Amino acid sequence: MTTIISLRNVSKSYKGITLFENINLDIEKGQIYGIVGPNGSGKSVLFKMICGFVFPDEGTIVVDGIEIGRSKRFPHNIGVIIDRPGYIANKTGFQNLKELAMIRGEISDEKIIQTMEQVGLQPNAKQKVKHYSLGMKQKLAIAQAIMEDQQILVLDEPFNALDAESVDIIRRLLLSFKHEGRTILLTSHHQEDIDILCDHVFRINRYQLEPVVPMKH
Amino acid sequence: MRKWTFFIKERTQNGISIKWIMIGAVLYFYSIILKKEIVQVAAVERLHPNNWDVTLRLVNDPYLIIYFIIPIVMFFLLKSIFMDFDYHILIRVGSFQRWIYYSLRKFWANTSPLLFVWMLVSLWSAIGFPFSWDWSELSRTEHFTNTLYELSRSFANPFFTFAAQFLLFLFTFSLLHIIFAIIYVLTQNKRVMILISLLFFVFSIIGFKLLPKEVAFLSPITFFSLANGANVFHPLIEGYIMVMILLIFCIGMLPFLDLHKRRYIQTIKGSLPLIMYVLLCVMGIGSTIRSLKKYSDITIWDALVASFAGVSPERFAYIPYFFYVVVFFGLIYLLHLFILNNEIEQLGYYKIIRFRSLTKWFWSWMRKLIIIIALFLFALAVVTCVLAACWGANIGFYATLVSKPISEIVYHFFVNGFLQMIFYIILIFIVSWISKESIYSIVMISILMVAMLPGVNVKGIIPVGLNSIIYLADHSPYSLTLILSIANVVSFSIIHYLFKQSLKI
Repeated sequence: MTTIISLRNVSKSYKGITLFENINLDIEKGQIYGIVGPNGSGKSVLFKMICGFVFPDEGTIVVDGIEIGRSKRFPHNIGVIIDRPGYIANKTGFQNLKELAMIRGEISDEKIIQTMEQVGLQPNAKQKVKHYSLGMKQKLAIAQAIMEDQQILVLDEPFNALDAESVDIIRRLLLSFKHEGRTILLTSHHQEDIDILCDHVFRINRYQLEPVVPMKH
Repeated sequence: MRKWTFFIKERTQNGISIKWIMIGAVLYFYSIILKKEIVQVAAVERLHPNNWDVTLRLVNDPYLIIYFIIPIVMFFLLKSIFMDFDYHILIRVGSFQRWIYYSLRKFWANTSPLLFVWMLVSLWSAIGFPFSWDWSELSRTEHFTNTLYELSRSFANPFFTFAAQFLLFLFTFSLLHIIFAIIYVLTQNKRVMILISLLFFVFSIIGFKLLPKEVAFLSPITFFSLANGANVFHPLIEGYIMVMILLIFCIGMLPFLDLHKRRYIQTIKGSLPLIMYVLLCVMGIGSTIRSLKKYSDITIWDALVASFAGVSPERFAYIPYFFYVVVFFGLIYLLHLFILNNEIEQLGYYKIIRFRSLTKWFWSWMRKLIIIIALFLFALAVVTCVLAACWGANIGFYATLVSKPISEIVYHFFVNGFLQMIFYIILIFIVSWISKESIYSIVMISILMVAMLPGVNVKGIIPVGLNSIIYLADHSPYSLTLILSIANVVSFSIIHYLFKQSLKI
């Protein structure tokens, strides 16, 4: 197994509240990791630190062999859903994805269409995102995170607002990604998501990441 | 769909939006007002206008820029920053540095129709006026309504002026966007951004209306309107150079946004008042030296006299007063912030036991302050003289602005400057010691500042501002030394008394 993300002696306080104290974590390639914990325990902050959006107060984070904040700010091959995803409200779902895809220019329109279909969105719909339901917006956020075949996916509450059928589709999609060798970190308030998907689960408790034995084992 | 096809389609959709038509209509109606004024002045003065009078006036008009263009640009700028600061975008561009360039591109993609509409309306409005490629009689005549006079002297051809104006917009708007984007990366707070935008807008109005000519280079409008820039910068290229230097500085700063800079920020945060203070001092000295260019045979000592002229009850002016406040009270405030306050707050029994007496404790840090003040005065004199020499001032050993020998000027600057600063510090210390609250020291500094205003300290009871070089016009430097020495002896006696009272059980 190859370690793709490594946290060493990481501590972090946010707005005067201690979230993590001296934590260590190794994420192996091709595995799904679940992070659980109550609201405000620091799940999103942990993900933001891994993505380089915020720095730890102490310690180092290495993603794909590169230390965050030393030679590179944001890791290259990573797809994210963190906080409320941003959209251009008066554009269609396709136009939103196209805008993002144009930044790197790595994927074709066909790939965007394929991704939209994978998550259950209609690529040719003229409906603007401001008229999307919450569930459709969540699917668009997932499409934004995965459309360029990112090898690491950091997904904070990816199943929020999705109906049962969509949850099932996304779960199968994530498992297929795992079999392709992609690494996934996710949080969910639904134990069932964690039980079905995750190979490793960590609970945030008293500023530490405590390993929990997942149900599927 | 190909990338460029998508791009063109997007931009076309943006370009034909109703908002540009509305903006175009406002610009057109404003151009009618300008045209009427131009025709009236031309008729009264019996001078011929041409197409460039209308076109250039419309793209240079400070009122239009401040009250209409700047708010619109600020709106697009903030909208572009807020919308583009998205995790999906950040992770794809790879760094904050690249995000700022990305955001700048988006900003220009959204804002370029404004410049296009403005340019179009300015050219369209000239229809009906005699066409020429040269400056008109009207624009070449000095008249209070003719804002193009300085420009007609700076540019051989009005078309170049037109192009230079848009080049200025390109640089200034880009600089503004980069600065705002940097602030947003650092703060990530929308309210702070809106507040800064409002302050910028208010400062643009104040800068245009209230700032005197000597410091007009601080006014934002100077960098938006070529006509305003031409009144401040001689040659005009200085304005472009200033914008370019700031632009290069900001671009040079961008890589630091992506570093793990917690420690650096803590250091910079701690030193920020000091950095701001040094910048203000250097800018003030530079601006004073620049204003001396109108005199011939200026020496480096004149630069010292003009920079630290200060004020006296008989001779008062706002700019020397403000600069005195910044330089001398600014230093006192910093010394209070970094040294005096800490010493008083950290004074406990263990320190008194260690030093055995309050007087010894007092002199343990007072010695440090004395050295700082001496070095500070020396640095001020050296920086002023070097800057003046670089600016082309004569290095002869005489001054033309005051009829006093150099020895007296130097004596006054150093000896009376030193005594005055020591007096301020002692006064602040006494207030801090009695009140045990640092806020009262700030109040004391404010009282001293007020005491320097005309009509407040008429009889000269409060020894404040006596190190102003302007005092040499009416007083001997040695009599001022006597007053300051007495003031210091009295204040030291008060400290001695206070220390004795403090240790009584």
